[in-house]
Amino acid sequence: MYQDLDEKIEVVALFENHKMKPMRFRWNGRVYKVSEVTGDWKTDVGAFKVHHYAVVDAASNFYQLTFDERQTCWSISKIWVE
Amino acid sequence: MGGIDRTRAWPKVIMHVDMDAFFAAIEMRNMPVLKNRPVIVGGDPRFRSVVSTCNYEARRYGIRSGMPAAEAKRLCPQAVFISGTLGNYVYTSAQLIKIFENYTPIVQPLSVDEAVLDITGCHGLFGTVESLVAAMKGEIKEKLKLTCSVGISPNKYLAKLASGENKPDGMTVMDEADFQKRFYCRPVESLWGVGEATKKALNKIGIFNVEDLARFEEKKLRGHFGEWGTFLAKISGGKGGMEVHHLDDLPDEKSMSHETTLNEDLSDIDRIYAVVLWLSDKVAKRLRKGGFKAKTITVRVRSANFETITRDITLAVATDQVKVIYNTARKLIPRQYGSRIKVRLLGVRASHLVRENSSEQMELIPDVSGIKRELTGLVMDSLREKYGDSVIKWAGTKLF
Repeated sequence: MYQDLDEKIEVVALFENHKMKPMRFRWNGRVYKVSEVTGDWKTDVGAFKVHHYAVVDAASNFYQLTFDERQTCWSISKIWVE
Repeated sequence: MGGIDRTRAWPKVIMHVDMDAFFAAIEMRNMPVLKNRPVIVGGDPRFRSVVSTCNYEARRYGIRSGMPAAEAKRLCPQAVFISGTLGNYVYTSAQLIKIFENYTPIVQPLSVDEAVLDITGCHGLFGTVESLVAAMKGEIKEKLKLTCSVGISPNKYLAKLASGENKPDGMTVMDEADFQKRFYCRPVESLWGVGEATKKALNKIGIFNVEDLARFEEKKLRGHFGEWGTFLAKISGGKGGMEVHHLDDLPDEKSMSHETTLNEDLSDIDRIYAVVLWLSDKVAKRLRKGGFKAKTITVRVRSANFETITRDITLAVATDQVKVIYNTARKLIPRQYGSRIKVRLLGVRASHLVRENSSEQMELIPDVSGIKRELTGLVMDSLREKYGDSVIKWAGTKLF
């Protein structure tokens, strides 16, 4: 099942073809390498955008990362736990 | 091939696109770990909630949209329940519309996961209808990693029926003659628009399959069902509208409503009023956004024992103000609700819409408090537009 979270993380992202793509993130002192962005979408909060990324690592673990334009910060919002 | 070429003789070629298990498919794409597992998108089965949609693996267990989540859990205990990410679905839906517009400029979204397209003349650019559909499906698969089912017909109604014929990832071309061959032997409820109540009423007068309905005299159908009888006669002959409206060219909405099934049955009248205020605020916001005012306000209340009442009132002056809508809706709730009868569902609807700038009769003496209310509404709208809906709320909704 998945678990909802709201924890700040550090992210290394690539800006390419007018798109932002998370490559690595540090969460709880550990660095995770993104092997695939499986989905991305944006939501509006007033005039601001919140960018959402569904990503998996090399072991196919799922994470949902969020970039909030209002606060210019990244967070981890969802993980999959068996 | 014969089926494809026939479309060139049709006055209109209408395509209905239905995304396959849309919400569940998006979740499965995002979370590869869900592959081959039954996935249910909807509420938590521990609480009172329903299945919004499910993937094909879950459907094998008899799970269907609208089913109580607890029942779905009982049928398939190993299913993965996901509350869903509405923002993702809406965003993906907008991306789909952009893809559809690569094939025809006339695209009418029907909901977040289905649309009708007028492809008359456009398929010539791709050779055949089949090659247009293949190109479009390919683009959807490549860009969104999703599949859809497509119906091609001379009218919207048949196109919708056709898209359901070959799911998932299928395509069906169906004209009126094909419809007769496929549907005449099927029960009446296989027609879109014939629900349980209509089915029972039709069965009562000896109509069981689509052919029975098609052969029944229209005048008699009207005698039994009124205007609905005309609709039934039309659809049983495979007839339907051919006009596809572009998003910017949709006919004005006839009403705007919001309703909610409560997490728990409410008996506290103050909490019931708080929900009515919350719903009235949503309706008023939509009215102002669309540039409408409403003359009729309706409330819908369902009790804990599933009895539903609907009451409405027509106002002297059309409004788009939350306070007027709320005060009107509040008065329409019968007194016994809350005190003696617990409430399960509440809804507020605004209808008889008039354009904000239409020649509405003006009040002789301007209502100063009304002007203040209008200003309050406009300030709230602009704050919400800039900072999001949750930035400002009516204090009365705090109880909800």
